[in-house]
Amino acid sequence: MITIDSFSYTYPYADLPALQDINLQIEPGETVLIRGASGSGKTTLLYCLNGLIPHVFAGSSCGSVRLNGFAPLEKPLHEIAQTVGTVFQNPESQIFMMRVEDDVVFGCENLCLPKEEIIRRRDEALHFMGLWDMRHKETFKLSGGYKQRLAVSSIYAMQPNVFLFDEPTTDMDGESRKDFFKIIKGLKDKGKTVIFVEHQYEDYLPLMDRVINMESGRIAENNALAKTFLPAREAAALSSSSVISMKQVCFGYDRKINVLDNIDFMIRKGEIVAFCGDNGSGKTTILKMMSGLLQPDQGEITVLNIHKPVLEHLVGRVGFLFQNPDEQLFAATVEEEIAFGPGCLGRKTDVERYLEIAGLKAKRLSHPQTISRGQRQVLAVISIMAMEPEIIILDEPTTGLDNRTWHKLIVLLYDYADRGGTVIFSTHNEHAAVLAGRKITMHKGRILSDEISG
Amino acid sequence: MKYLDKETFMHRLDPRTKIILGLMVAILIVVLKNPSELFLLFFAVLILFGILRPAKNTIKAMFIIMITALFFTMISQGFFYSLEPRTIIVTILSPDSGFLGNITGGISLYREGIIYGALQSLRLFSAMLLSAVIVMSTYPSDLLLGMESMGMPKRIGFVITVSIRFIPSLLDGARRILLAQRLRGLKVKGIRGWFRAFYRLLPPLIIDSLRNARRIALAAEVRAFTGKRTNLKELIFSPQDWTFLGLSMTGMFVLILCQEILP
Amino acid sequence: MNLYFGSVIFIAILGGIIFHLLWTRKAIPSFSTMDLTTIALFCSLLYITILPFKFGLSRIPIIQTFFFAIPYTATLFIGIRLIPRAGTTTLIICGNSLLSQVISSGIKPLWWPYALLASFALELYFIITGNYLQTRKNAIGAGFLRGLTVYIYFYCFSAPYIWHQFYAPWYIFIQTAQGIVGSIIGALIGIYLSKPIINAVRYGGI
Repeated sequence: MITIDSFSYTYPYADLPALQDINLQIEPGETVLIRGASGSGKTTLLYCLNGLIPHVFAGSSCGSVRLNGFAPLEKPLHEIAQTVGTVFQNPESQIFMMRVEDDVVFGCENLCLPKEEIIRRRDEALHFMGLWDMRHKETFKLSGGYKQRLAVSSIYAMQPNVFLFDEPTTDMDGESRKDFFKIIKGLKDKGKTVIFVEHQYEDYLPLMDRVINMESGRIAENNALAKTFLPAREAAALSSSSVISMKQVCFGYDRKINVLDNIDFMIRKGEIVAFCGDNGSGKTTILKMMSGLLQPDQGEITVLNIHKPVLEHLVGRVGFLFQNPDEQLFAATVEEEIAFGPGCLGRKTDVERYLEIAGLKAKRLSHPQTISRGQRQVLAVISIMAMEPEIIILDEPTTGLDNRTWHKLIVLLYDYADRGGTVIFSTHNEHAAVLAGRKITMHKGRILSDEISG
Repeated sequence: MKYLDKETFMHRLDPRTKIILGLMVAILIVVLKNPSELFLLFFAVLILFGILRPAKNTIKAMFIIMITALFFTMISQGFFYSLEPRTIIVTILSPDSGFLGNITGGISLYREGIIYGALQSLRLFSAMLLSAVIVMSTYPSDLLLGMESMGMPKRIGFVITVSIRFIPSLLDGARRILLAQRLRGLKVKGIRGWFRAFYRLLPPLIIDSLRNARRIALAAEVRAFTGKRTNLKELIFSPQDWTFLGLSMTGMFVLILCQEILP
Repeated sequence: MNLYFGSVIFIAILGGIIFHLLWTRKAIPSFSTMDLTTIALFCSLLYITILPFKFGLSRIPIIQTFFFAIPYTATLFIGIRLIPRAGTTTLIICGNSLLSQVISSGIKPLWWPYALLASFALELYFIITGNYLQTRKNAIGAGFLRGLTVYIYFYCFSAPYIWHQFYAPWYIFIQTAQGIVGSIIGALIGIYLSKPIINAVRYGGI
């Protein structure tokens, strides 16, 4: 039973409170969805429920939070962990051991439980999560979906009554997300209280007893996301010049498995194309080929009239964005970051204009790592755009972004395409794909469909 | 050398036995003087290495490392041998040839030095082989468990576990950052390129690591990590361990005694 | 008795002195979980920044020390500036040493005193100067000290008494000089690179 009464909280050194006047009651066994834009306070709320605020994060608060009758400050963190379990977004940083069965018991070992009890809990967790057959496997060999399952198992083994999930499916593809649905359902059936924070929550709505919308640190009364506009793009007259073409391309990382099998398509200048498909469908491989990072084993590929291009041919003409923007920001200030690429290439660039388009004029002298996640993603894209490449390729640009920021990004990309650029991106998010003009779906290395959307 | 997933005698030994073995061999390496005893030690360690039945590639790699070490040791000791008698094979710098000659006292290659170097490499070989044996026959988490039960604080064990665990992802991150930089036009060829790459690589890598460190810390906190913990796996000394330790200890004392007593 | 064993005892005494100094100043540090994970990642980072220098050109023994010292010291000093406390240096240096032993080079007990000496020398320096790399002068001093202790110890104690290998004084001088210069350059690079990082940490986002 969770009771929150007129609770407000401000992070240390922050000007504005992260949570304002929260009033909330959650009954045991309820399954609750919390949704809202980035920065609306969802994660902060979760941290108040699992004791991380105030034990790890200081800061000032007023009002009260009570978990099963006690306030988080009254008990040490390791005791709270036995009542409230938390699963975070990134499975990589939640796995500590090198073997699955060792990692499942990490939490139990920390609780100093007797040996027989640990073994009992471990086996139960492994069976419940469907990891029993993999228990001897090494953790780094697991796929993303299974890694997250392992993270849930090690929390499950501690047998809390409340499960908090902070954007757990962000990096997952369709298949893994369906599996995760079963896990949440399983927890719900066992009578656990589940509090679920997610951007891509549509698939989980049937399981939810309640939906809470947050905005700017408050619980909003109305449906805050109902009125998001869907940016529109008129079907621009496409030029007939082809910028990328692939003919009967095949590729395999080792001889046995064909990652790409007979790929045939052509992309024209000014198009925006989304590649969809599950992990392992080959979409990232195609994207890498288009930027010269990989060469096909068989078949023909032509980019910007260069046959079988390599990286060196395409630097400055093709921009590639990896999934994690933080790995692509190298400068000391935002404006330096925008000027970095053109500087290396010896080109001039209108930094002012790009700052304006990105909406980062106020932050021009800030260090790139101090701005928000969404702003960093936009900055990474703008820094590539500033090099004025003919093609921009983005690998999973929607990861970790809320709809609002994604829409902002897509408007930037529309604008870029209208000026003659070509945009290609890969995504597992069906809704993001809808905003592209053309959607190519892949499955196991082959193209399933290539359709014009919208 | 990486962990070898096999079932050999060495694998079955308790990790603490192997650590103690490492300490014993370390002491012997420092203390032994006679060539015959150095050879004995080397062969003993070689036998242990053989028990593991490593892959051909591993043997080849070890061999190359040892030959390189042998070569450099022979050369370095060949030049720096300072005891008499010594016979010169070739002189690079004569002692009276000006400033450099005076400072260095001449640089010449001595035959006795080369032989001496070859002999002393046996110590290096024994050390290299034994450390490889320990690591190839013990799973890293077991090794840490052994050290913890021999007195290493658990929080340090946690630090090492985390650092081992995250090397592959850090390496991947570093590669991706370097690639992203090349894609933005940064030129990384040549010595200047190297330094430029390093200089630009480090801050984003470190900031990413700091973020990761925070996430890992939070994940540990919600798993009730306090530094005080029990381990599911228990280490127990088996009769084989005691026998092995006993034999090794005896061997060590015999070798040292022989050296002191016999002329 | 063998001078090497003597040096091990000396290092143990050094450790004792440091502990005593901290005890009397009531400055025994405590590390939060986040500190521990940061230190752990610095151990790994240290391993990674050295990796490219283990192959290729820099394998030439005469100038190898120079190439190693720069990235090592730079990364180490960034780590110390991020967690400026007694014990950080020891944890990072020894942690990294243990780490590379466990995963690649094998358990080498003979290298443990060496890592401890490098750590203790720096810890003592920081306690005495009361300054954890806050100023450039401090950093240059630390770099100098690191280069000096590490290479002198190796050539005058480890090499002769463990491996029974001897080196001419002029060679020792060249290597130590390289080590010192490399460490100082690394120290300055580390300080320079750590400024934006610390800035980013202080103003959020991390």
